[in-house]
Amino acid sequence: MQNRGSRFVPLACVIAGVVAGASVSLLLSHTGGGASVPRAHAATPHARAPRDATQERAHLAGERRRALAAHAAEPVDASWAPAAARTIARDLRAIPPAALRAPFRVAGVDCRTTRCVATLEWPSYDAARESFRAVIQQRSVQNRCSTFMLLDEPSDTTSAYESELLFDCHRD
Amino acid sequence: MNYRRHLALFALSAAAGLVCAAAPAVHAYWVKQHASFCSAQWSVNSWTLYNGGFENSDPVNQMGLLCPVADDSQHPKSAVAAINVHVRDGNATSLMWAEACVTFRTTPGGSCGDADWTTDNSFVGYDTLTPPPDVWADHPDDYGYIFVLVPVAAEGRGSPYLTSAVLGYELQD
Repeated sequence: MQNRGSRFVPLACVIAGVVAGASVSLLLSHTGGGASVPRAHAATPHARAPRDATQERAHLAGERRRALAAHAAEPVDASWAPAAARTIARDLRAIPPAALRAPFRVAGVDCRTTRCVATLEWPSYDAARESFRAVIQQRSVQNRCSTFMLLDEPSDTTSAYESELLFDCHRD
Repeated sequence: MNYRRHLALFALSAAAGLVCAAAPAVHAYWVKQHASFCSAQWSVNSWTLYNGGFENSDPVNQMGLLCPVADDSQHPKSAVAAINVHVRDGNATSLMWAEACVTFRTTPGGSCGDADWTTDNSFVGYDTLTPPPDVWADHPDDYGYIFVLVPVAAEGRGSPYLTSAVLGYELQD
């Protein structure tokens, strides 16, 4: 009888231990004790404060400068560049007129190995500002690229305006 | 001796209980939104917001749909790992595509990632487009959206569906 009772002691110790450990953990989480971070801030890698307007403009200008430099540094791949330039020019000309506040002209497309720069001419800065979205969104199956366009405000917003549309493409 | 063994058992079990209870529950975050959140980027002659989604009933003009992306400190768009856009392609001669984009918030301009297309021109039916969300991670401070190109209404031209539509979209961390 005494032997049977002593067999249950280890089991009782295990159960008591688990209960005690879990209780301590729950107590800590409810009282804010311990080293745990509140859930609301769990996403801290992404929860930084947004940049102010000046920082943001400088960041975007830097992004464009780096992309243009990367484009300029690429050699021209004759097996890809001419066809890619034709595809991009064709796609840009295929944007439905309803999607644009004002028409634009594709002045040129310069493709290298994986990157292209399209130069677009608009009747005015305002026309570019009101229609750039249709331009950056335009795609075709042959045009597997990401796009970037930043419109710097000129001193005269009513005269003809030129902008660069940057492409960073995937090649199979 | 027995006392020591029981004490060790208790301590080990307590530690195990502590670790198990403190382990964070893994909940994958996702959010689903009906296409009624979207708006037509340009005017088409006829579109319909019906129970099944946002459809283009114009037989002449394609429709560009802009679908907004929720973005807050707990679930920023920069943490999105996958986009699923649920569409119904009713046009047997053209493609639908979807892409993740941003509009810059301090200056005119924007950026879009690579697009994902329906299988091929002749495809008709329900499909899920999965454009990469990278552009949102590259531009965490800017306003994110999904652009979907919806082809013209087929009007019975070899398709069991009269129109193409966006049904909704879901984002996963």
